[in-house]
Amino acid sequence: MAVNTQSFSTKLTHIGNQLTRVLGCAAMLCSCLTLLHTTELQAAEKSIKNSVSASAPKTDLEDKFYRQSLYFYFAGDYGAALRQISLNRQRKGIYSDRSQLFEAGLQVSIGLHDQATQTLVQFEQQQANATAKTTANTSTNTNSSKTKSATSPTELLLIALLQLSEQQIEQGDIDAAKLTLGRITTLLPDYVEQYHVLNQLAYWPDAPPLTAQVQQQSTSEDDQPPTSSSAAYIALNQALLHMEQQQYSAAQPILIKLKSQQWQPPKINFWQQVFNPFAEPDIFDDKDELLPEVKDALLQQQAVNDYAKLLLAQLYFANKQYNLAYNELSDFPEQSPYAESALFLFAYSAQQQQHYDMSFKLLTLLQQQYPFSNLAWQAALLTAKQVSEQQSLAQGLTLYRQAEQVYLQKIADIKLFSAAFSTINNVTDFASKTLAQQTPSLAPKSDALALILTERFNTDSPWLKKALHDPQLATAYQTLLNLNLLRDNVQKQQINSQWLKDTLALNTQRQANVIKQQKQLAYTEMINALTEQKQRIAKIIDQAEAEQNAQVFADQSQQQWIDRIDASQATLTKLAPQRNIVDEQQRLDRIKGVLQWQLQQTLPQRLWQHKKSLMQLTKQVEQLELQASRFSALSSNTRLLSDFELRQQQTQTDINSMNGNITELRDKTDRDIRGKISIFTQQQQYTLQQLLLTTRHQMANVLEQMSRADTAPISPFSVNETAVNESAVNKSTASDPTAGESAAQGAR
Amino acid sequence: MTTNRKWGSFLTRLFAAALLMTGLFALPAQAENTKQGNGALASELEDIKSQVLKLNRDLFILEEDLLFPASTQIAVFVSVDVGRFLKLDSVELKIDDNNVSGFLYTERQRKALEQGGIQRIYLGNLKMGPHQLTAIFTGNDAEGRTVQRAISHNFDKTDETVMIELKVEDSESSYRADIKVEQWVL
Repeated sequence: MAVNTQSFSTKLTHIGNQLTRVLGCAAMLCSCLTLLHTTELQAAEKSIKNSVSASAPKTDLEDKFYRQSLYFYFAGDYGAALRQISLNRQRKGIYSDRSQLFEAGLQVSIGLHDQATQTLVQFEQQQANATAKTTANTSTNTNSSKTKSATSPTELLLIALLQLSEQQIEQGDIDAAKLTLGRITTLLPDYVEQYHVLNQLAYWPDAPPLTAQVQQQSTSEDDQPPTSSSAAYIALNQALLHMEQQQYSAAQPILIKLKSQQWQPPKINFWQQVFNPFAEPDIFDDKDELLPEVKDALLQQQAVNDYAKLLLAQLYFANKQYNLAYNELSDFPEQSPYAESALFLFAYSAQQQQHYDMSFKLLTLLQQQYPFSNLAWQAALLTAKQVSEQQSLAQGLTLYRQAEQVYLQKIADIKLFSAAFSTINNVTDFASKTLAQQTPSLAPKSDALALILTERFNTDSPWLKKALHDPQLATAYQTLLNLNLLRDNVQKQQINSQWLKDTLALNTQRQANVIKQQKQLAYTEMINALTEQKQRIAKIIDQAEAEQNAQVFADQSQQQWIDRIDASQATLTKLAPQRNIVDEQQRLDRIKGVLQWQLQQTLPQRLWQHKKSLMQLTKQVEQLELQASRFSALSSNTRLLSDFELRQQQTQTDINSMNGNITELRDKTDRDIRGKISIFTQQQQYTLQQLLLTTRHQMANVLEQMSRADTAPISPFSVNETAVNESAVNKSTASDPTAGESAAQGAR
Repeated sequence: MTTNRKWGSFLTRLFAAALLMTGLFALPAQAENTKQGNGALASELEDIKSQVLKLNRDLFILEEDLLFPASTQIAVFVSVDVGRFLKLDSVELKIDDNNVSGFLYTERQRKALEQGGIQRIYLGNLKMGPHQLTAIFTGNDAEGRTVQRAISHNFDKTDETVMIELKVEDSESSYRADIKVEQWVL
């Protein structure tokens, strides 16, 4: 018993140390393996925890996770915002009205029209179901999203549909746009004008049906004065339509009003901004937030004013009111995007007004400013004709020769361009380099999932620039840039996937090491031995408590005393037959008594301490057992890593397939662009050849007139008449093939 | 007179060309030419874009599952309420006195927070047991002076994900921003 009691405290400490070491080791191993934790285990553990934390008020996770996607959106990472919503739905089961509409908005803004349509259809169905339920129950419960947003779901849906149809029109998917617009049944007054413009564009040149019912205000938009830019576009399109139908008297008052009208740009709310991120360019300007908006609005206003002016001038031409056209264009802004056409018309009206000097200067200016323009080429011919008829045949002939040289030069140029274009590997080689591309090291690095192009394709090549006036070619180039963007994106994800693969390989290795270590250390046996020891100690404590044996809890010095007393007692017992030991025995008993008294005094305290230590020990052993069993489950579960590996392999397969799709589509677009450029160069050559032919005819006529003038002087006007006749015929053959098509483009 | 008429006829033809050129500069709001080929191309592009998004999401989930399992996961979020008294510049995070994350805000990111966004600033692993999170917010006050706010929060990591939101809230009474901590109850 003495031996047992002596070692008891030491053993308890020793077991504690051993346990700490084992627990530490196990914790380390488990922390390695937690990286490979299964979702099943988590689910099981969660269910237990849920029961524990059931009393605490739950956080509104829908709001929190929705706001996370808002953060990405406001920070400009639309892809991450969309991913967050998708994650919220997939992993947290959160999919509220507002997040659904937000998702649709983001899908529209990054060009995922089909998905956006699906999301909106789903939303409409849910709304219909919710309305049916509400009317059936006449419940007072309000929709959570309604309480949190000032914009009603109906309005959000309207915004989404309008923006979707706008993008579909921009992409040339008119049928889809008509369908989208047809789904709008109710209109709010603020969106009437946008709805009208989009309908006009979708149904051009037919009259739009405008079937949607306007809420609140009964007046139709036709009765309202065009106060916003949207209204201006409606009016402009209306005037254009009247002009196409030769209803000039109807178009004239609209254009007169529009050419000098000013208006406020339409206010764009949050949801309109979501569905169209380019609605307010550079909204986050550091220095002055409002300036870009104002600038944009002013530019738009100026463009509409200019275009109205130009259309009005054309209207006057059609009515042969050349003086009015001349006056109309005399103050046309030089920086306007329509300056080229205006200049030509102005020159022509100057001729009609017999301001030949002015006309000559204007035509020359046109040639200088727009050397690659069809109008400028025609201006060269026109100038020569004017000079030969108004000044002298010799001067006219010189100008004809110059025009001939210009055409020959341009034909050579376009051939060179065509040859150069056919030899390049990448059709984007002609793109002008942006500052970021020139100095990639200075370009800001971003982790954002870029899915939207912020810039349009631009080039320094004048021929390609001209070719890009064809919207289809411009769209094809944008598609190519989009594909490049996606390819870069996929490459980034490929790196990410590879990194995950490496991590998985590392984890597999770690798992193998851990299992090996586990086998070497024989954890189960160690834990069993510890448990046995713990049980034995518990028994001793229980027994000591029952017997009120304080010696079991003696400290080191007390233990020494007990040992000495025991030794003395043994000596006395040995000496007892030989001599009288009564006195010694009494002294020893006194010492024993004092020690016993001391031990009894500290017994309750020590008993409590040891019980507490034992409880802690029990808890640690239980934890250890739990960890060991979890460790055993994890280490023996090979499915864990293989599941991750399978998922990683799947993403790799997806990446490969995506790369293939991108390459395929890129090749297709490349071929498409090359085909269009080939047609463009042929058309340009044909036009130039026709102009060259006309010029040579004119030159022949002039020469003929000159030779006639040398032999028998006659009136130059009668000769000119023949020449002009021929020229007109030639010109008509030159311009007619493209006239129909281009006029159709203009109308649209 | 006849010459003038012929001259006019010639120019009228050119005017027709001028009109068609004007058409080329049609309004930006006007729809572009419709061709079925364009639609098909756009559809294919959209399909790829959608695939890229899906791939990104799958990889994101895989990465999170693999590296930050719920049993060890801790996520820290930052949000700003109004932000009038503290224009956030940077945040430093410490867990158990170890620097775990730091973030320097751009103007746009700061505004994203002020507009109601919640940013996940840190995602990491922690072993079970008690821990201490310390956050130091640096920014400018309404007068443009540099100010710092610090907060310390003790929490227990269980085998469930721990999500802690650090909220920068304007206090109207003291005209200063305070940091509040909200541990999300899942």
